[in-house]
Amino acid sequence: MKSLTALAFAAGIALAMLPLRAWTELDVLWAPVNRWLWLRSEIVLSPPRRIDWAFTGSSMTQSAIRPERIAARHPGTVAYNFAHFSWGHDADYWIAEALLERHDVGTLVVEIPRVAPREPHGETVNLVNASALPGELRIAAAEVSARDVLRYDPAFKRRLARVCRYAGSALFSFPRHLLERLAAAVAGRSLEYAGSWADWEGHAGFAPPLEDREPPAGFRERQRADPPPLPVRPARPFVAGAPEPQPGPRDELYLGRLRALADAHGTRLVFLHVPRWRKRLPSVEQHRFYSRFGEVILADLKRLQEPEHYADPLHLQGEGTNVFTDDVARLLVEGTEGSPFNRLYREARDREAGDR
Amino acid sequence: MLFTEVVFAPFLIATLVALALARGRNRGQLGVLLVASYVFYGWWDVSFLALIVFSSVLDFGVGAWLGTTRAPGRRRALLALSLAGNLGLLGYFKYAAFFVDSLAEALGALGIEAHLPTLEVILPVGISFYTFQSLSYTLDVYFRRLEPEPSLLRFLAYVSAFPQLVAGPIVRARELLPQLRGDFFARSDSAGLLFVFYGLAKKLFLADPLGFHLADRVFRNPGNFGSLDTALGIYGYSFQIFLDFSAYSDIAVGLGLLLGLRLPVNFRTPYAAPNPVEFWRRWHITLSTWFRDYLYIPLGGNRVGTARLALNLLVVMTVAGLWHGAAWTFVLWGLVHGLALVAYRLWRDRHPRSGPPSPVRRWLGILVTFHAVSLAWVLFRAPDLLTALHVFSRLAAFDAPPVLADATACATLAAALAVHALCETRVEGWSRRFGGLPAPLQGACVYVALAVLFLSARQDVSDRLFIYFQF
Repeated sequence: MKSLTALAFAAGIALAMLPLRAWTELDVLWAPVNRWLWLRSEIVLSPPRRIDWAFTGSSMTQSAIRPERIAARHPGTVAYNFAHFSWGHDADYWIAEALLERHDVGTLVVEIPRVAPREPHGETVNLVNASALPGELRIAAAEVSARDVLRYDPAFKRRLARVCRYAGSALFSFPRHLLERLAAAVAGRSLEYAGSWADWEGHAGFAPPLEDREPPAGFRERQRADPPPLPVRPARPFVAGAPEPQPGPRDELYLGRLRALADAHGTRLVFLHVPRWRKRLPSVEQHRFYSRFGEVILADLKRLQEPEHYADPLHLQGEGTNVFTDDVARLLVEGTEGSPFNRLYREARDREAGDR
Repeated sequence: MLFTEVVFAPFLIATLVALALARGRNRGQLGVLLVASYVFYGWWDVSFLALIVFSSVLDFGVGAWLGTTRAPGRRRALLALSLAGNLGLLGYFKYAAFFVDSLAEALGALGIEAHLPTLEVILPVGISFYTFQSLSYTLDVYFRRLEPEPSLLRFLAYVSAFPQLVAGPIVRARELLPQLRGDFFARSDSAGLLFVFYGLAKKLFLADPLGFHLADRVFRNPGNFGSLDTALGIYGYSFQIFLDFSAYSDIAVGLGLLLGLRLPVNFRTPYAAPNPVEFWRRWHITLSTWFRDYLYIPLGGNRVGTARLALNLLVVMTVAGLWHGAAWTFVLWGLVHGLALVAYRLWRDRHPRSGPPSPVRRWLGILVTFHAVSLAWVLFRAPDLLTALHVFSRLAAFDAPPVLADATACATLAAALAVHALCETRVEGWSRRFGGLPAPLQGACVYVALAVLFLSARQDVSDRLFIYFQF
């Protein structure tokens, strides 16, 4: 019984740390990856400042948006690309929360996830705080049926493991945050501390720039031999292909929280579709789903059909990044009404409503 | 389920709570242990639970029958039934594809074109361990060293007890079955927590990084590395496999203590062995004693002539090699160890000594044994014989500059050596002292240990199975 008593004490200590962790604000944006340390340095440790456009999303956004180009084309506009590998709406939410709590953000641009499955979100578990746990538990419970449990279904095991990881992170990450902060305090250079980690790869926490990367063997040849399906026809604003993952309850939870967060801080919330090579556009349903929570940007994809625009099927590069950055910046300034693709979706939606 | 998975923590706590609720009721505690063990194993693949149940029920039935009959012929037939059932299971799931492929290759070499079926059989995790464990019961009952177990529930719980189910130690029925009587959870010892965290730390902070930084790189592309790097890779693997496997055993021992069960120690600083015989008294002790008691001694043991002794040793070690895996590399590995044992026996017979060896001779023996064992690990680790030969050839290649000998790799290797030399013999004492601490202090230690383990282990390095899972 002593072993159980000891474990109960350990659990008690872990629970007691939760309010302490929230009070010290040491639970924000920590993860053992350079990119995350750079994010922490820029978002959490930097003094508050005005950010006009803040982008979050996956490595697709990371490679598709060039803040320095925005600054050059739109003088006075401060843009940051906070996109990161291993992302999901939960991670976007935590970044947004840290960002909006500390800085004055004009527009928050969030990528529409396009890759299935969208879980688990890798490093995201390291960002979990206790307040997110009930929501996660509710979703996990809703997604698993009694039959799955009885059959010991892999989906059940995956979800249980995810919840356990979240709970474990929420309960046991505080000492690490504390040690990290102590180390930074002892060194007397909290910003540089994070920055030095981020500099590890020599790109301030970024992966090597995608234009430096060689595409997979034969990628460009295959691209040329296999022409893209664009331009889309006005009557059919999305191309055929495998169905995209449809938004689920977890998206609903975090997008709802994201919307509330943006409203509370008076921030404009925009969802961004980042093109992939030859992949279909978001379905009308998906477009409609995201429109419930904010504006949706669809850049002019007809200008992004050259094989050289892509480093690989998922990531823009070089001139492709420039074209996309310019187009997104233009739409952010002029409003999403200016996008021909947005118009197509609107028309499709109106037609659907008319049919009904 | 892996001990290193975060799901394991709530699973263990739930099991301990359920055992505490069933306190005083042996059947209730056995039921909890059985369900927990099946949940633990089924986490990997629920369908393979049927194999454990089959093996357990077969041996329980055979044991019960052996208890009621004295006719030697019938007893032999019953033993043969158990052997056929267990070894047949093992043979099909572990060795069928290997033997079919080897036969096809042998026939092909003789110019005979054989159209043998290609078998793609999934190897159930831990099958070698639980079949041997279950078989030890039948053998002990057959040799009248053990009375048949009257309770099927207890026997099922014995075979499937989750702490050592998938990678040992192989616990004999006569060691564990008596412990499963009465209120066994009342003997639960919180000292086990220290064993658990010690094992987890060894696995996550030493074994996995050694594999990641040294062994995997060298064995994946031996051609990329020169002699120094290859030697580092081999040293790295020597310590990786020791730390990985002994970590699993430590965790198993610790979990056993938490449940109120005392599991046997599986390792005693094996790389400090001054000769091959001593090495096998310190390495995977439960397997080597299993082979000693159930194969070596029935073959005649030491009480035979030199030639027969040599043959016995070669047979036992070759079978032990094959037990580890269905590949010629494992067979060869076993054979090499068999030859080393034979050579040592012959040398010792010709140079008998009366007193203990001098320190110089002892250290020389340790160095020679360690390097011989390390070289044999190449056969164990390499995916095939060609790769093993390639690794051996690179040991003598001085054509590539060393690239692996960075600070991280060297520090990890040094830490592994220090743990082997300094901690292994002391951990039992530490656990006793930990068990004597007040519960709140133990709880604080557990919290800190979990926090350190949870957040320090790098995911890319540490999301790895225990090496012995594959056996």
